[in-house]
Amino acid sequence: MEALYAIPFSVLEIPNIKIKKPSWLQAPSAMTTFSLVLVSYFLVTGGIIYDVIVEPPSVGSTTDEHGHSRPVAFMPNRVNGQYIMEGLASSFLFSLGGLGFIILDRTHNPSTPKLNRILLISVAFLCILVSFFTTWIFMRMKLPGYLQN
Amino acid sequence: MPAAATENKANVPKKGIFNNTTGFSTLITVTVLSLAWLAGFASRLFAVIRFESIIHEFDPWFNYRSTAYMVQHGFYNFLNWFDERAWYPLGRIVGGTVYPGLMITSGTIHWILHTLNIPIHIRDICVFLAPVFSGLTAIATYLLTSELWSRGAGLFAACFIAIIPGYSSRSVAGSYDNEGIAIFALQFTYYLWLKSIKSGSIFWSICTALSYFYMVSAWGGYVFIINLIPLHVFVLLIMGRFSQRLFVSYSVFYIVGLLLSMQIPFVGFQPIRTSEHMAASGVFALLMAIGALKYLHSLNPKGQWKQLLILGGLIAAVTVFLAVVLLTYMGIIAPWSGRFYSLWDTGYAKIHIPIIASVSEHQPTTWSSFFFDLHVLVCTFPVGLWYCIKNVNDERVFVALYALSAVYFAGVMVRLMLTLTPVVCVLAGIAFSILLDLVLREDETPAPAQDSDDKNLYDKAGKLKKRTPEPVAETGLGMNVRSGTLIAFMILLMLFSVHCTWATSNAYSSPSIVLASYGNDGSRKILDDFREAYGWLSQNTAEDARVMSWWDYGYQIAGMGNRTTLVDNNTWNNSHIALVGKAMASNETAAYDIMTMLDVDYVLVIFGGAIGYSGDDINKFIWMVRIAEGEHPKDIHEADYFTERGEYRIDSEASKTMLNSLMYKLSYYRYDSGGSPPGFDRTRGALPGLRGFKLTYLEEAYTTEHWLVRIYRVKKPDEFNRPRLPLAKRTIQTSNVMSKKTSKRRKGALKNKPILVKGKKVTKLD
Amino acid sequence: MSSLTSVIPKLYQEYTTKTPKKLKIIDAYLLYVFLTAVIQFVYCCLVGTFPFNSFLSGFISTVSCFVLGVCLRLQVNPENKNEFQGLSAERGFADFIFAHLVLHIVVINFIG
Repeated sequence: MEALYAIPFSVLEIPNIKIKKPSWLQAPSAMTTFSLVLVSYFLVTGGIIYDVIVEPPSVGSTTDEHGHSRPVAFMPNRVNGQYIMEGLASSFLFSLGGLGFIILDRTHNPSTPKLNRILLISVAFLCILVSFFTTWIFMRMKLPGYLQN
Repeated sequence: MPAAATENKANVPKKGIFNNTTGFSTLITVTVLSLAWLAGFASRLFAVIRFESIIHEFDPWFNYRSTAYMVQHGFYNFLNWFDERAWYPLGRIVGGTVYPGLMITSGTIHWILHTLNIPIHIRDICVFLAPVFSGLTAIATYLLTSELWSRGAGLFAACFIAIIPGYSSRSVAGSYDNEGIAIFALQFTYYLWLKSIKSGSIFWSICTALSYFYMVSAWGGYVFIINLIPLHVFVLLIMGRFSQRLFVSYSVFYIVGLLLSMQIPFVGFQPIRTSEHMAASGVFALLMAIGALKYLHSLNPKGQWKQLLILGGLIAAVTVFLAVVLLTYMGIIAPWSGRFYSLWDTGYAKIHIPIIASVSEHQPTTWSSFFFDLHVLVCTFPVGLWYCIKNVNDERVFVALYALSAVYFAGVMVRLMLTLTPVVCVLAGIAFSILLDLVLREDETPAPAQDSDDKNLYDKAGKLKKRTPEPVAETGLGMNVRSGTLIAFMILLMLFSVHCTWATSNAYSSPSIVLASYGNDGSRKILDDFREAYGWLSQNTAEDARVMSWWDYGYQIAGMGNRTTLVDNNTWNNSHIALVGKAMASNETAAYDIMTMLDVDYVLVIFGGAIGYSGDDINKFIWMVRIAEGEHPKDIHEADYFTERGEYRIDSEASKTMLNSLMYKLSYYRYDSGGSPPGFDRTRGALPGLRGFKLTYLEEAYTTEHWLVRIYRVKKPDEFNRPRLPLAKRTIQTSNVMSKKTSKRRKGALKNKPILVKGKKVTKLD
Repeated sequence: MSSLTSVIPKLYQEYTTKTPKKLKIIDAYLLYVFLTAVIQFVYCCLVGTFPFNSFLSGFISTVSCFVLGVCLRLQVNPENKNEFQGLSAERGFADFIFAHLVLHIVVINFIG
């Protein structure tokens, strides 16, 4: 009896079972998955989709009072506009900060010797602080009134 | 004040980790959550304090208007409401084209308060609804994160989401919009989903479905849930993590949720008809099949059922193939709608749907938006993700998928930062909780044993547990390093809260109805031009006057001016919008044609040149042209509005089409303000190219104090000097044109104005 | 083909011997619900789906009855004790009743 009403269901959706089959396909390890994720995160936070759609120049330029054109890295005063390079630079900093936090976690591995540990910690902190303050400076360049008033 | 509160909060969860008794930790939890609620609420009040208790922007005005209608006329009348004041002459069936969750929520609150004899105006409920719900969101986030990791992480996440700009941008007091309550519903649905996956109980799945129902009633973003949960199930199946709990929770959720979602009139039969929802049903069928096979397998574990499988497979392949071909051929399953399609093919909207691309919040996101909305969490987000991937279990697969899809969507559209924000808070909460845990745990030697017990009630990972027995004195970090780390974290969190307060106060707390300008001495001047103009409309025009404006202002005219509009922010009819765009982009004569056809009495344009307001109609004009060109490619050409060098400008170098367009004329008619020289446009920084002209078919009706809103009256045909024609010729023309008109456009002929048509046509001929 | 004919009786035999009586009652209910769904489907194919919401609510309510029945069966089955920790058969049944309550309120609303 059970077989009777099980048959229609196996009939309905068997092609999907074929999808399930390739179990020879190894599940990627946590590290591979994460690095893939991090790379895509890097690209997305860098506004790669914006770059593709809007097609901004890689670096902008302005003309100063003498009539010379100067390259400008940041599109000022606009949160919703950017040049390609500034996006990549800042998303690099974001990822750097993230890595800093991860390294900080790694330091607690009990097998690491003490010297390495201190080194790792300082590297991690360097990463975090550099990324954080540089991003802050970037933001100041982009929005001159940032965090004032 | 919010900043202080946040700092306060940042310190508390850390303490909570160290408290051993459950009673005390509950107390801490409750305290932190209520503080988070309070801080979240307080930081969203900048708009009310600076300006007044007022509904913001565009869409909230419609929501407010329909809420007020519902409160006044009752729920059933609201569902059957046909609004003849919008989309003239078409009208709009409001009950069937709106997500009613928001109105019902505030209506219910209003009703409860009135039953308790607390007389409060519905407007105040609408204004404060979003800040109150931000507290509920914080609690839902806490629950979600505790389900995923630990209660400490949950507290962190709750504090983050309470003040993060990415969320408060959509939920400041006065921004009475669907998103305000939808994020709560989203988080709560996910929490219940994880709960049901864990327990495998029908009860929790039903709760998930009910919460999903609330989400469906509140926001179109429910599609995110109905795709993410099946994706989660599918990925779990691929990873070989099928369990009967999964089977129970998903199948019950899907089938009940399907039925519930079809109860919303606006959603209707979409869940079984459109491709957006097909993934869910596919996964449902797949899960059913796998369940059945597993059962058969359990009956006879030895094998032998393989033949059955193969035979069934052959039959099924043919059936499914035929079914798909048939359904596609018959067009029963609709393809993806443009809005969703543009999420995948990112260039699609730019080319095909200018009306979507024209909205600034549909633009792709830049790095600064990420940083602006998330601040330090943008760095800790991958860290939390890393922990989740490293110590994976069923729930963490879910949050990883949530994170990935949300990051992608946030990259495509600025507006969808809103769906990214909660998951960022969850993951950053996890990351901060673990890192602080590492730093603080080894401080107190007696604590760890009990502490880890306390924690592991909620934390299955076991990773932290392993670390505790580690000999503290030998390998532990020095006291200095540890306190240094701690201080650094505190500084980071403090900067985060400062940033959040700043961003909320400066960037997201402007009502955009009332503008503020700051003088050099720091004095503040309120520009109330919008309300001035809408007030004028409601006082000085006929009750049934029809006002033409660009669609951005439709809801405001209806809400504040209480007049009929042609197009509004519910952009359901592209050709109607294109017609208005065409009127704005044509020269006066051609525009008059369109305006008489549409029975327009007044035209309203926004002009920011006098005060340097950049969001005015001239700046939006290029989109009007594009949208008009999409529907009327013969009459409107985008290139005509640019200079020969392809620049968009309004000064004397501007193209002739531009200078003669209705929008240009209405904006700069009689304009002599804006500093020196008089008539200077401060927004574009240029002197208008064509000045001192006269209008033939329109007359200025009203201009507000700062020239921001300009209203023109469309003259009746006997009011302007049209060239004389012999009477005989005129009458002949009339009959011809009229018959053409009635046969072609029955809707336009409703208001029987053949005289209008006659006059206009004659002049055109001449 | 011969192997297939041999498989089915064997499955049937396994089923009759191994399944407890309680579960057999649920199975009978499931079969009944399933047949109802089939009848509705055939009806809609023959006559058409005109009041579409009525057809949908009827059909979906049978499908969900089936699903809920299967879930109840899974939870009641003593073999699955490990899978559903903390869920007794009584709890499962109470949940089942609750789910039906929600379901039928919605169905009545939808059937129009």
